[in-house]
Amino acid sequence: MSQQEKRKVGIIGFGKSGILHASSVNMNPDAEWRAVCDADEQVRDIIHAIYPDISVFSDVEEMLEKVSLDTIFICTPDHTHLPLAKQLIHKDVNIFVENPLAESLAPAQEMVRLASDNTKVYSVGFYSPFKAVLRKARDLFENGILDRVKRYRASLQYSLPRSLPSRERITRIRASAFLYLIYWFFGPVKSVYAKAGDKFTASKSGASLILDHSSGLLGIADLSWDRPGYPQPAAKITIEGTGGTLDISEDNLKLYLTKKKGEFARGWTSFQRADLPSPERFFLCEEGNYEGTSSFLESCSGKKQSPLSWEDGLEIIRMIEAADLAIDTDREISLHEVK
Amino acid sequence: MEKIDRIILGSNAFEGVGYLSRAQTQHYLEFFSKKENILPIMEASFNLGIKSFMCSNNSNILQALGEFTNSRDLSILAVVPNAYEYARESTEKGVLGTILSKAKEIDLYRKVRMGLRALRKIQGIITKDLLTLLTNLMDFEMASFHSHNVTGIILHGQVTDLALSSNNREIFDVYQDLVRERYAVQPILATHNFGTLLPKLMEWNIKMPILASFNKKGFIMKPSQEECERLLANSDYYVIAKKVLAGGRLNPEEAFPYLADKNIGSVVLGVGSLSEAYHTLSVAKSVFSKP
Repeated sequence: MSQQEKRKVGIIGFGKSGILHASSVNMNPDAEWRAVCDADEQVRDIIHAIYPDISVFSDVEEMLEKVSLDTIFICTPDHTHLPLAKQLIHKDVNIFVENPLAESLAPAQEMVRLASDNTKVYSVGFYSPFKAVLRKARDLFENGILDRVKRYRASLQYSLPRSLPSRERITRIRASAFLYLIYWFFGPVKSVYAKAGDKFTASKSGASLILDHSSGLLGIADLSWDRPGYPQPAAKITIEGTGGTLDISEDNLKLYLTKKKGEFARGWTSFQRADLPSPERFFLCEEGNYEGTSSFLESCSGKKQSPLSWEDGLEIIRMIEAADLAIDTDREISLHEVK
Repeated sequence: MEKIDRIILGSNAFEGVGYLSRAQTQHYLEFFSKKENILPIMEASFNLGIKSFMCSNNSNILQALGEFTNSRDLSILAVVPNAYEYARESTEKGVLGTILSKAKEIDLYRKVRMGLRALRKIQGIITKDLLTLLTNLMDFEMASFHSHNVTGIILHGQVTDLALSSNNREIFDVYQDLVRERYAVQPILATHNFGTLLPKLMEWNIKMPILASFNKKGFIMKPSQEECERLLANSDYYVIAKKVLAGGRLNPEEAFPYLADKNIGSVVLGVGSLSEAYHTLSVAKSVFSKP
């Protein structure tokens, strides 16, 4: 790809995800990281020292004025996403926003409305589609390996220190990523019933959701954010069908079939990460980080359609709001009520 | 280059790192939170003739090392920084925020306890801020190992790969000079991207041993197994293989022959139990100790 055709990238916010996107862009032959904007002076100083060729700014407007950019990664906290989107949307740039799309429903809806008038690519940062085991599981599921699906049960467990000031924000990010995983597998949700409380530890730090999907499928999702011994989040889904079950985690996948189907024998078949091909050409801290960024860049170049739109991000926020409302009112909430 | 042993005991399991399942990780975290469960594995390994141990400054491991009778005869390859520690803290402050607060926190410590030594060669080539930051972080991490026989310092794969993606050779120059001048030991780079790192180091004319994934399944061999194998075959860099059991998916009998005829200097082997230690390390000795 010639220099002119390369995506010219700016990053807003240089925390963990900003660093990962910048690094992924740097390793991508079809893109060039040109500028970064961060509010913290010390962070800007370090960027200067490590990346002497990158233009560093404290002000987004100034960055857009001084550097020619066509693609922006917004890696700042969720409450800043809408103000930044408003600033950027008329600048004719592709925009990637980290998960969750916004801090609540109204700003997320506003972002989708703004994006609907434009033709650029607007994507949100969910990484499940870029993990080999989850991708394999979804392929099997989509191809009807379980015959008629009866129900599913999903869980997300982790622990966060109660003293952590950003505990609520991190919880929201993780819950959002988990609900996206469910949405990616089973499609849109019609209604939600939810109870506060942790099924695993009997503490209040969690929630149980009953999700009624538009497809007619019913599932249960249990979230726990005080589970001792889980410093990293662990998501799991068990899907039951008339033809067998699928046990899915990020590390492994277990398929049980009641009778032989295609290449799979009756009984258990298991896959580990190491058994599955990974198309990722560069590994950055965790599986899916590089491919997630690259996939967005490819969609900006028109090479493929973006797998993750702001509409998807909005749908997840509607699920969260419906769950919150269900907990508050102790009744089933239709997503139509969440407006 | 300092001689590096052919077989090195790794510490992933002791630090709760596993690839098979969350249950395995959970078991490792719980089981190896007691130094009493680490010590027998270290002793078994030592008695089998494995005299090198690769680890970070994880507190459980340091406690076990402190009580290990033969620790003076054990060659430590210290992994810095303790990335899992940083990952936990960075959920709150962000990565750079965590590094900055650590750097601030340790600055006083460094001045009082270690003093400032001149690093003239490095100071000539990089900005003062970056040098100070890296020196502070390195001193902080290495202080935990002061009573042990450290023979090499390994830059953690996550950091190497982030540095690699910055395309800034200064970071690698600083790292190797710091390790050689300040600690007088062998600098080593860990990576998950051997196929990208090696050509870059060759282009920059930087030579250090590389710790990289090599296994029969191609697990985390980037950009691809074929490319990594091709580069390895033609390389004159010293390569230490990790993830040789493909995250637990291969048994030693099927995994080791793949490595035995490759241009690999050493292998790192992590074990999660005493029986696994006897089995894995015995098979390794029979395969890798052949002249």
